[in-house]
Amino acid sequence: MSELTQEDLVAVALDVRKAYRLLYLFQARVMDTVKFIAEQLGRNYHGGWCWFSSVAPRDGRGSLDNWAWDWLNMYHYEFFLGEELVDGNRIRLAVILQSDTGFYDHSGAEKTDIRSFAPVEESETRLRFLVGKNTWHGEFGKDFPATETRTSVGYTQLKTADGSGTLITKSFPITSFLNETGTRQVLDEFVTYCQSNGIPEIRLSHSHPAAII
Amino acid sequence: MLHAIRNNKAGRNFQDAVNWRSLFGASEDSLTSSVFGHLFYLPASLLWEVLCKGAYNLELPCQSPPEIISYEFWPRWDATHTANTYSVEPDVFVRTSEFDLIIEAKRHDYGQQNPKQWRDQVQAYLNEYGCEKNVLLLAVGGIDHGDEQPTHLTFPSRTILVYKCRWRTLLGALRTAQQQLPPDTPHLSHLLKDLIAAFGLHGYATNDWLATMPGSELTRLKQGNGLQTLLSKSSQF
Repeated sequence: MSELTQEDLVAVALDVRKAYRLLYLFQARVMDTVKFIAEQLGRNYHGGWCWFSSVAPRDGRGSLDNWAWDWLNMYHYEFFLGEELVDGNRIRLAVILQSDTGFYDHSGAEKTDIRSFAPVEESETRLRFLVGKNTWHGEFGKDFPATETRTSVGYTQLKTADGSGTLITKSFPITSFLNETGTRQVLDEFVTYCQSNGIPEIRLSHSHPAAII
Repeated sequence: MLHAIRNNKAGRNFQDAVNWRSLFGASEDSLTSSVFGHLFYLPASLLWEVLCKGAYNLELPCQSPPEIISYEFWPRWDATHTANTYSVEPDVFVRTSEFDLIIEAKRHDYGQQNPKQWRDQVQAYLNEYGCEKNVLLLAVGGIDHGDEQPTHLTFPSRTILVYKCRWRTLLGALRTAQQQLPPDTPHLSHLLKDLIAAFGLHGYATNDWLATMPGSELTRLKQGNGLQTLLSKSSQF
């Protein structure tokens, strides 16, 4: 390893600026996609949490000893779409952005050592849907795969011990959300699955407005 | 009201709680009133610009954008010589200094408009207002594939043009107008934002998709030597 020269750093900083602008373009569209999903499910955004690190420090709180990840919280981020009482059942919904599965894909990886992550080419970027009926993921402890790897592709369905609560989750590759058609296909698939597997309370708030009759 | 419905506030305080968002989202009348109700608040020049861009081949029968004199939702007109028994009810009726405009809206974008209904609406208009003024009909939504060109309705005294428009193309025109607004027009920006939100409430996509990542921007962002330098000099990678 050799140190960067001032000239090297000029080039690095240039790429950092490019990376930030790329992230801005990407994240703006991811947020728009989540907004569309919420609209289709008749929900609103009700706050979010970073699943990978802590909340970005602000208002003088936090410490410069915090991880840089704390300032990059959309690495793995939950958009909570609220809780509603439907026919006496508490229905919670969330969409989770997993910008990079690399940390989770490599067993034993350390968060502050990106060399230990799986290679970017072998990792994935995806959106995960999560719905809970009379329960939420915290109730399942280690049974809930919060840190899904790229190989987790199907539906996961968990039941509470007394059978009254159901949790359903599935991750979809970000490529499924390329456009409106793809996003509607995901929504149709997910809602249909939930309705057939114990959560009929989830439904689309309206039919496809551009439906071809 | 629009915001109360979008945020699931409307309907909560009634004895039998009703999900207004779901009800309104499915309603043709709600879509029509929330979109056109806001459209008429726009300055005439912007209103007609949006309608002309959103509709297929719409040409106004005048040189400059006319001011709106009045607008009315769901007027009831004399049904004489129509298929209706009591009255004919177009969705919106607009009077301008230059011409009158009948708007017939359908909930979805394809396959619901009916030329017989257009004819009845024009006949009912003639029953009410006679032949003094130029009149157009704008069919919004419900347009069959390949039926985007104007339809000519022939009456003994005149021929009426029916122009076509899809909600989705109207939304596109509004989003373009929003992007092109001068920076010193925040009130128009708020109006257009609410208009676009009304489309969102009714299930239309109002967002930028990942497929629309701007190519010109991405080309400029192509990684250069900096990352390569890091790769060669840093053990971090």
